Amino acid sequence: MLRYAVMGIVLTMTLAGCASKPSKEAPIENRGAAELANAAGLPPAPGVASKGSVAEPVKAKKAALEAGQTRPLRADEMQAKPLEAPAVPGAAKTEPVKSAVVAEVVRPKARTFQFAYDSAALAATDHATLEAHGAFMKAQPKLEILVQGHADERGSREYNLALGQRRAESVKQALGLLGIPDARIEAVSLGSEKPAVEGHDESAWKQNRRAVLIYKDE
Amino acid sequence: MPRVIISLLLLWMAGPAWSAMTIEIVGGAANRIVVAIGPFGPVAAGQEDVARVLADDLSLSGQFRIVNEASLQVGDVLTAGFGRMRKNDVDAVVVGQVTTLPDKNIEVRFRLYDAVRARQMVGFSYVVPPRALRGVAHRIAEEVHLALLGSPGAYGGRITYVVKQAGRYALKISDVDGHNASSVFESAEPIISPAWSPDGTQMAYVSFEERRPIVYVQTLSDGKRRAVARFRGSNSAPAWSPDGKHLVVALTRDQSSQLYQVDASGQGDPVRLLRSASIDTEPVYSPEGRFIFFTSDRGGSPQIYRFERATGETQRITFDGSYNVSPALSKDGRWLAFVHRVEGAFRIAVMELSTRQVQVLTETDYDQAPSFASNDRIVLYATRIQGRGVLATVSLDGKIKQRLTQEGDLREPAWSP
Repeated sequence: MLRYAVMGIVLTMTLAGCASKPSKEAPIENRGAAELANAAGLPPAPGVASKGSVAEPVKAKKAALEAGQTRPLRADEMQAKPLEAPAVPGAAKTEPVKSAVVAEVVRPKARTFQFAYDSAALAATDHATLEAHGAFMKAQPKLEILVQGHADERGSREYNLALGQRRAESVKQALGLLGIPDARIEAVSLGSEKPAVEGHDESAWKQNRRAVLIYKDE
Repeated sequence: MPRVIISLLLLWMAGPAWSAMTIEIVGGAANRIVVAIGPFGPVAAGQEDVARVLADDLSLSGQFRIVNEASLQVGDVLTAGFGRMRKNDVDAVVVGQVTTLPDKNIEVRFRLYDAVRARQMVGFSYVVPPRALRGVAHRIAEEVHLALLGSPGAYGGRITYVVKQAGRYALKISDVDGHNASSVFESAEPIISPAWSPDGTQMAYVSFEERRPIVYVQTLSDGKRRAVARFRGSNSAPAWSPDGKHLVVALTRDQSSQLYQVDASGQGDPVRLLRSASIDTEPVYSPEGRFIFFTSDRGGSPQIYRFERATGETQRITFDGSYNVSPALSKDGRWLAFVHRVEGAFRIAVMELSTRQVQVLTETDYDQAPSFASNDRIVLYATRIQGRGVLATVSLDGKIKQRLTQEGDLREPAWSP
C-alpha cells in the first residue's frame, strides 16, 4: 500500500512539474510532458495518481491545462510499466523488513537527487536511495536531516529559491511516505546560489538542479 | 630589465584602482545637449576635481555631450564668448570656482548659462568640508540636469549591490557612480535580495550563513543587525511596508513558498497574507501601500500578480509570455519593471500600469533584479556580459544604457529611496 502511495506522489509531482512547465516560451531545455515522464520512468497518465497522495491530482491537471499543456496524451504514452513499476527494494514492507534491516543499516553515501527543468519530480531511479535513507533514519530514530534544494542559474534568484524549496519538499515528502516524521526533516532551499558546477550551459544547469540530503550530525 | 620591473611594480601598485567601479555608456539619447564645462580651479592633492566629477556625471547620463572650450577660465561669471561657442554647437556653459576658506571648508560656486540666449539659467554657492566635494559635484549635476531638461536626474543617490569575489560575498553601498563604496555585510556564504528601508537608514537582506536563507535587517549607521525571519525552512524576499514598520517576506514554514508579514523589530509571530498551493514570492509594496505585487506560479507559469491589502482581492497583471518575475514599482506608482523571458532570454521589461502596455527595454540575455532610480526614469538591474555579472541601467524609453563593472561578479542591485 505504502509503495503505491510513494509511486502516487511521484506521479503527481511529475505531473505538477510538467504543469508548471512553460509551453509557449521554450526554455533552453524544452522537454515535452511525455518525455519528462519517461525520464522519470513513469507514465504521464493524469488519472492514475493514487488517492491519499499529498498533492492533489485534479489540481495538477487543471494547472496543466491553464499552462497550455493541452496536447492529449496518447494511449501508448499512458501504458508503460504502470503502478507495479520497478521493484522498490525493501520499500514499505514495514514490520518484517524493519527488524531485518536494523542490524546492518549503514549511512547511505548517495545524497544528491537531480531534477528536470522547472520540475520537482523525483526520478524513479532515486527510489533506491530514498529507501536506503528511510531505512537508515528508522534505524537511527534521533537523527535529523536537512534537505537543501537547488535550481539552475536562469531567471529570478528568489523564484529559483522557491523552486529549490519545492525540490527539497519532494524529497521530504517521499521520506515522509516512507514513515519518517516531518519533524525530523527540514527542507530548505539555496536557490541558484550554490551551483554544484560553475558554467553557463545545459550540462552545468542539469547538475545544478538538485536536492542534497545532509545529516545534521555531519 | 629594470624598466620591466618598474612597470610591473606600477601595475601592481595600480591594483587597488581596478576594484573601483567603471561606467561605460552603451547607448545615448539621439539628441544630446552639448555642454561646455570650464575649470573650477586648481585641485589640491587628494581633493576631488569638481569639474571632472560633474563632466563624468553628465556625460554618463547619456543625455549630454561634454566638450572642452579652451577659452573658459576659472570663475563663476561669464559675460562673453557665447557667439564663438555657438559656432561649436555648444548649447549650455558651466563655469565655477572652488575656494578654500580660512576655516578649511571649501566654497564651490557655479553658474549655468544658456549659450543661445547668453544668459544665466541657474547658479549656487555651497560651503562644505573637503570630503563632501564629490557630493557637491553630484548636486551641481542635478541642478544642471533639472535646468536643461526640466526633469530630475539621478546623480546624488546611493545604490546597494552584492559583489562575489574570490569565493566571498559582500553587500556594498556606493554612490551611483560606484565611488565611496563601503561594505554593509560580508560573508563566505551567499547574500541576496537587499532592500532599503523607506527612510534609507536600514537594509533588509537574505543571508545563507546558517546553511539556509534567513532574513536580517541591519541598521546602516551602527551596523547592528537582527533576524526578522528565521523560521523553519527558507526565509527570503524581504519587502518593506511604506511606513517601515513591517516587512513582507516569503516563508516555507507551511511547505511551499508563501507570503507573510513580519514586524520590522523581529518580534511577534508572522501573519500569513495569502494562501495558495503554489509558489508565491518576490513581494513588493506599491508606494501608497494599497497593493502588494508578487510572483506566483498559480496559473501554471510564473507571473506577476497584485494583491489588494484592504479587500484581499488578487489580480493577475502579466499575461504576455510564460515567465514574468521580479516585480519592481516606480516611486510614482506608474510603472512596473520586471524580468520577462523572450526566446529563452531573460530581459527587463516595463509596463505602464494604467494602460498595461509592455515594452522590453534590454537586449541582454540574463537580466535580473530591476529597481527604479530615484527619478523613476532609469531602471537599474543586474546582467551578465561575457560570463561575468555586471550592473546596468536603462532609461524608460530603452534608449540610454550604461554598464557598471568592477572586479568580481556584481549582482542584486537596488537604488536607494
